[in-house]
Amino acid sequence: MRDFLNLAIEYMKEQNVTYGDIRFGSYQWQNISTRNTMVTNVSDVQSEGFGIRVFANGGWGFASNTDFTPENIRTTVKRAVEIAFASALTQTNGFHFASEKPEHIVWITPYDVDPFSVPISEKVDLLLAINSKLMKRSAIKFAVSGMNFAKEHKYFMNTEGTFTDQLLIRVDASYTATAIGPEGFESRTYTLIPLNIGYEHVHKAPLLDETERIAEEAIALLRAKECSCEETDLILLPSHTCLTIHETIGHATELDRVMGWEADMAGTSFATIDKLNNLKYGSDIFNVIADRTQKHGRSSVPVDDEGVKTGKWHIIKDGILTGYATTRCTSHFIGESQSRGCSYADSWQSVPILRMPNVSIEPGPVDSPSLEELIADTKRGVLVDGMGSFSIDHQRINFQFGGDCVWRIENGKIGEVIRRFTYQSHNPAFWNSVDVICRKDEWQQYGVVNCGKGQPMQRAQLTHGSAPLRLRNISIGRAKI
Amino acid sequence: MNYLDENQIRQLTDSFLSAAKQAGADDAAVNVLAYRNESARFSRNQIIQNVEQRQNNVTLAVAVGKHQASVSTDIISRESIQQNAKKAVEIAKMFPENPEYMPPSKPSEFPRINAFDERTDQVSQQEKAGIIREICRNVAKEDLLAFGTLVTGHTIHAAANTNGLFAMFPKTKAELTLTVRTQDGKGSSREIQDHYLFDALDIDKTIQNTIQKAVRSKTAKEIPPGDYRVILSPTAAMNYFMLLFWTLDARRIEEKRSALNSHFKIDQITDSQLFSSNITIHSRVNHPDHPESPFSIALSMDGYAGQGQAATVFSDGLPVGNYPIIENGCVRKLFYTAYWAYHKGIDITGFPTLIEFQGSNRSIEELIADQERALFVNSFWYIRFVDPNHLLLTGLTRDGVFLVEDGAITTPVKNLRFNESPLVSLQNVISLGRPERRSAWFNTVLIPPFVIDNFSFSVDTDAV
Repeated sequence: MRDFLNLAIEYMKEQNVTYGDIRFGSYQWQNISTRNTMVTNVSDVQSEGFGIRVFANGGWGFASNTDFTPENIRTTVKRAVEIAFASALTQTNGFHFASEKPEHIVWITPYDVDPFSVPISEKVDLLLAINSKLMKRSAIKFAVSGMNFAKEHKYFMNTEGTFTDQLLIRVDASYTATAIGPEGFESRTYTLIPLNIGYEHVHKAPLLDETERIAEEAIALLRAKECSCEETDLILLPSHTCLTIHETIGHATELDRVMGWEADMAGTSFATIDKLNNLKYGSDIFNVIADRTQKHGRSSVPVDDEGVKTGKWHIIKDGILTGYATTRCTSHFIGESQSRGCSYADSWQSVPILRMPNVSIEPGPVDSPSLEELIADTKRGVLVDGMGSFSIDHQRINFQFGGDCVWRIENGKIGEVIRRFTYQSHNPAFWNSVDVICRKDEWQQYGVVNCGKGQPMQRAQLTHGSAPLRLRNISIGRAKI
Repeated sequence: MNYLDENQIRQLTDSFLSAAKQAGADDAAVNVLAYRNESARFSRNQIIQNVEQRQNNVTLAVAVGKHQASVSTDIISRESIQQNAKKAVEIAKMFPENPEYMPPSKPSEFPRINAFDERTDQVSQQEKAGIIREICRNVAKEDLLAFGTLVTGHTIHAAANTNGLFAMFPKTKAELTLTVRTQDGKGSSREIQDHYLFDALDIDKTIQNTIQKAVRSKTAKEIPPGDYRVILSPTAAMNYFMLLFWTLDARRIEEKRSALNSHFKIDQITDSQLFSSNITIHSRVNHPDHPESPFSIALSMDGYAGQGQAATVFSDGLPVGNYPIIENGCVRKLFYTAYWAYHKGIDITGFPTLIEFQGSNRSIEELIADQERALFVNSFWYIRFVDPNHLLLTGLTRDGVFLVEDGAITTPVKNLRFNESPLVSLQNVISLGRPERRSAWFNTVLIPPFVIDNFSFSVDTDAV
């Protein structure tokens, strides 16, 4: 493989590129899905190829291919250079590209059991057993379950001498029970936390044990009272904050978006660089950490897709905006000489772009309450579990979210399930209304597995952790037909 | 030649089908997706990213008896074809029989539809960069910022199976997206043009329209949320109405999992007047100006609210027809998966590749001139289900929203969040304008601007 990569680098140097890199990717995905008593899909997908990215004559070019012959590598390098020369026709401001020291890293996701070594029949048997248990309740008319596994093997080399060989292994699974009755239909989902890990994650998960609760809660949702329209306190569980962090903090602090590079599609951000170190993003106890090194994180990797060592840093400290996700082309916008290592491409044929790292809310101080104590301390509010409807504007200000299952809290006790729950709020008032974050032993990481960004669209996968937390006086129930 | 021709595609599909048979498959079907995509992306008046992507991807689905599985690969060699066929058969044998098993689609005669243009496929990088330079210069001249993409390339879809079906549809693509923003970030607008002919893109018009709307949108005023009469541009209408088609799945309706069940009695859904009488929507094939595939690729609408995905390559290659989906407000056609059609004894057709909403000959300006008070919406953003029981959706306006008073646009207003159902809006359609072409997720639509009453906005936002 090194010979193959070296050859491409040699060709790039022949073309006098200012900078160049090659990324070879070998990908394997397995997706299994079932409905009731049948297997609806088993697919096994393989993809291999390489992408060449160059900076030449003041412009960027990228070309990709699947033919690994020396002649074709040379042709692909030439094509990337030709594209870079065309790009240079429009350059007016030039590009900064942070210098980085060469890295040599070989790395594999920590795992015990290779998910692709586990027989498909074992996985299918487990999924069908889950469906069968869900459907023991007569109101559950549909049970759907699935598992997804991925191996992403990337080799990277650049003209600065960096070489990496990194293998990511991804596992996720979920199931959904749908209750149908005269009231309509409602679904409740169990999600095995998506992690970069081996099949031991599935072995250890209480997938079968949770079926009864999930089925019961689907039925409770169907028969529940509608969410009223009011202002109340929210207690958000980590299974829910995952998506809220992702949409309202993760995307808002991607520096390419902040600088307008995503203005034509994904949007820009309210958290502009003039607000760095002075925007009151959250309450005083609110601390948000970015970390591409956390164990089993969905975006964890030692070196990013443009050869930069990854790390950990605060995006929000004591409620104040203190940092952004950056790449080699964007770090200079905030006066940083090095990238934070947030470059990622979802395939060998995708050009690396800035993607948010794993972004998490830190737990509260040591004397913070447990979830149980927090509920007991809440006179009136709602407890929100899991992800529901979600929508946010293109500058990450106004948003409306639902939950997968939501309960009323009255006088410190969990009450009935409520149906068609939504809340609406806006940045930065929302996170400034956090008054309690539970303690460290309540902290959990969850994952987003299908984050779209870029033109052409790419998919990223991230981990977002938090402890349960409470927000005061949030508007709920305004989404009505 | 820079793409796979029919002989090469046939060789590819034949190799996979033969290998599947040799490996022990009783039935097999192949789906080929071959494409080249060149995308130049510009931001703040210069190109920031410029890529070429090419891939030939093959999905092979097999059945051994009624045991099914599929594999996909872009590693195409004699060894990989045999390995993949063997793997698919081995995986299929591990599973219980599929009680909803349907054999691969029958062969059909498809009309020859030409949507491939050599010129579009071969536009040079230099030419495209030159166009982007001109766009950026024009925008910069007005002290504004340009963001967008210029995309060219082609896609070839092919379907073949052991029943003798072979279908192939090559199509070229040209697309310009342009966002113009004011330097102070207080004004913004966006336009999209796409066509299978590069030379059909009206680049000058796109530049002028976007500049004009961006400048006009500056310093938007706040208006109270509530119910408004709206004029939706064709883009906004496409954003909003496309989820409607997911409610028209016959199985979901019969199993009471469609939003239509919440709004109408099951025996009234077809042929009763459910919507405004000016709503007529057709599936079209062989349109003279908008050539689209005469066959559909695997698509199932059976994937929401607990049904599980049932897309199958065995359903590839179903012929697409000319028929009314909704006519004068009455639903005329529901969509069937292969299994449900068989189960119900109904002839199946492919899912539409071109959906045509009937409109009028009136321009947006004429629709605006009719209104005493309304909001003009340029586009919507981030539309999601709130309640699939009612097709209640939420989303936000974007790229310019304007107050219309006494027949003219008077004031830019701040973006707004809506919570509304297309099933309700289709009962409140006042008038329609001239349809325009737009690309949706899975097909192309010809869709007019809509004037709709009582459209519900719940809150505004400072986002520009």
